[in-house]
Amino acid sequence: MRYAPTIAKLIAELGKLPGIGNKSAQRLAFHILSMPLEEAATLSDSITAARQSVRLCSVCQNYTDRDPCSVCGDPNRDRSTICVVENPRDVSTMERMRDYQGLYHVLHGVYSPLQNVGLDSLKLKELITRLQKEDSVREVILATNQTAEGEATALYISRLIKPSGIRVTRIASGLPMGSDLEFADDLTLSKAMRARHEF
Amino acid sequence: MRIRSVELTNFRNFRRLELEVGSSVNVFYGANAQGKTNILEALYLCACARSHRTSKDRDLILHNETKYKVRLILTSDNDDYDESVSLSYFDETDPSLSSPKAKRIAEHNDVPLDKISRYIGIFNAVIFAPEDMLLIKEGPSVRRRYLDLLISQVRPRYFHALQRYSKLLMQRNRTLKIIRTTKGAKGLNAQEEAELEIWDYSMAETAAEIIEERLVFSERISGAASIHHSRISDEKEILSVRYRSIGGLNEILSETSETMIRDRIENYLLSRWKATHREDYEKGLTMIGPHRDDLELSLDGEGLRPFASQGQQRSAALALKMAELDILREDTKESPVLLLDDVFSELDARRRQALLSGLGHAQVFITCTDKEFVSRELIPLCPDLFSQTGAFSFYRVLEGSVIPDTIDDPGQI
Ligand SMILES: [Zn+2]
Repeated sequence: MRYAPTIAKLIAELGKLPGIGNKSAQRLAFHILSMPLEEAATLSDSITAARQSVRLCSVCQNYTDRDPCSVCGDPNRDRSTICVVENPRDVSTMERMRDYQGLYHVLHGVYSPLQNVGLDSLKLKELITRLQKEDSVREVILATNQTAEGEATALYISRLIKPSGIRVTRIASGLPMGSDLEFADDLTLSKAMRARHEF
Repeated sequence: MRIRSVELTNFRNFRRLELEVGSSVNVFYGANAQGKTNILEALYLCACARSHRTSKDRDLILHNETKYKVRLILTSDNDDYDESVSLSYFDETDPSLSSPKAKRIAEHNDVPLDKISRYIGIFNAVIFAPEDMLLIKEGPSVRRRYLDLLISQVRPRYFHALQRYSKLLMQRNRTLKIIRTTKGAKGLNAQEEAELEIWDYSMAETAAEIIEERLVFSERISGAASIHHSRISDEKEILSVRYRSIGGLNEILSETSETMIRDRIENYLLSRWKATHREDYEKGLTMIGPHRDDLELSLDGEGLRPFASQGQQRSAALALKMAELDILREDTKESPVLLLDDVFSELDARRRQALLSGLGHAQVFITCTDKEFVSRELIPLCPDLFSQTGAFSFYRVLEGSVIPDTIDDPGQI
């Protein structure tokens, strides 16, 4: 089926969003078209407003509407530890557990030449400059995902930081809490076996 | 492990097939190009998540459709619990859109699995098919695939390592190409060396894990295959199989103690990769690693391929497949399902007998053009194996449909 050019454009733009296939994009587009004009305008205004007001925190590179962000600006956070994550979403996930008291550094991706993400497009220079500037840092926790690229990026960062003498750690992988050994898949189990610790 | 029932949807020339199958020998007969092999292909696909005939899932979808699904209900040899496995593939790629929308889904007990590596090994099957000859005739990639599929079925971690390695290898090759296009033929600078090193270090551990498993399994295959080969072949030659790693690793390993093998491989590959940045960069490809290795076959110490006769090649291929069956049986403590796709017509009586006597009490699926072939040619070779009544179920395959015969007693056919 062919759509009017403005509708086709809307469908195409929505289809660029992650997790939105062509069918979902059509459904969303027609939902938007059926909305009262004011509601649609509120939606598009809030997209623009959020995009315009949100910047990167000059310290940790997370999204923020004030600089430094609420984590970096909090005098009660532990300044000796920095947790390096791939995305702003990972910071929210870590914050949800309300256990980690240190600071963050957001890379905005992982090294992946196949996806045209080079090392220089990650916030790595910012991390190194930050470590040189702030001598309170004692430990850097690498919390990139355990994908091939996440591991490779963690490896690169650890090689970069190690000469400075700062402790570099990698988050552990293993069995989810409350899970039965019986139901763990072989891969998780063998990883958990390899990462076992003194008890 | 046995299959209870088979469901095909839009698979090859089957629009819809629901079929209960017998627990012993199932014979699919009929003229060529009616769909017999497609049924065995579907069964094999459920085991290895890969067809033995094509690497393109698109080829498996019925003409003018966008999705296929194969689902099996299984039952274990000893327990009486049922489970199901299914594999489906959608290809809804709209030619007018640039981004492909194709997806493969593997399910266990109708729950989708997030990774294929969690699927491999749930259901095991061994296929004997005319394509087996490619193991001898073709290049190293066919033998690597044979080795990889076998190990994956008994070591789920191995399949994961393979996937990870191939991803890392693509990243390294891509890095080599990017460096090449941005700077032409000049040497590598420190930053570029560092970028390649990220992949060297990331790949080394996974590559060592792959090679170590391949070494272990090559030795087991060699042991089992040489025994089968001596039964199959009329000559007194000894078949042996050896893992051949390019880049001098074999020489290093021959002088290494058993315990340190993985570390030695890892350090060796790392040093070789670092030393060959320049060559790799000139070729735009990673020239050393498990992705280039081979399984070397020899008869009485002489490499098999170049001058082997058709009969020698056939014996060696059959011995490799029977070794695969032995190892699966040994490691899973169950008999894999056996798929014999039009193999008997290619084999002489001696090789037929060797194959049949190695089958044990597995569930077997056979394709042939002529139903009488079974009673005339196969049963006399192994009367004990086929003596139980009800051992046989016959199905006539005609233009994408399957008609079960009502008589299942071999005495009456
Ligand atoms: Zn911040």
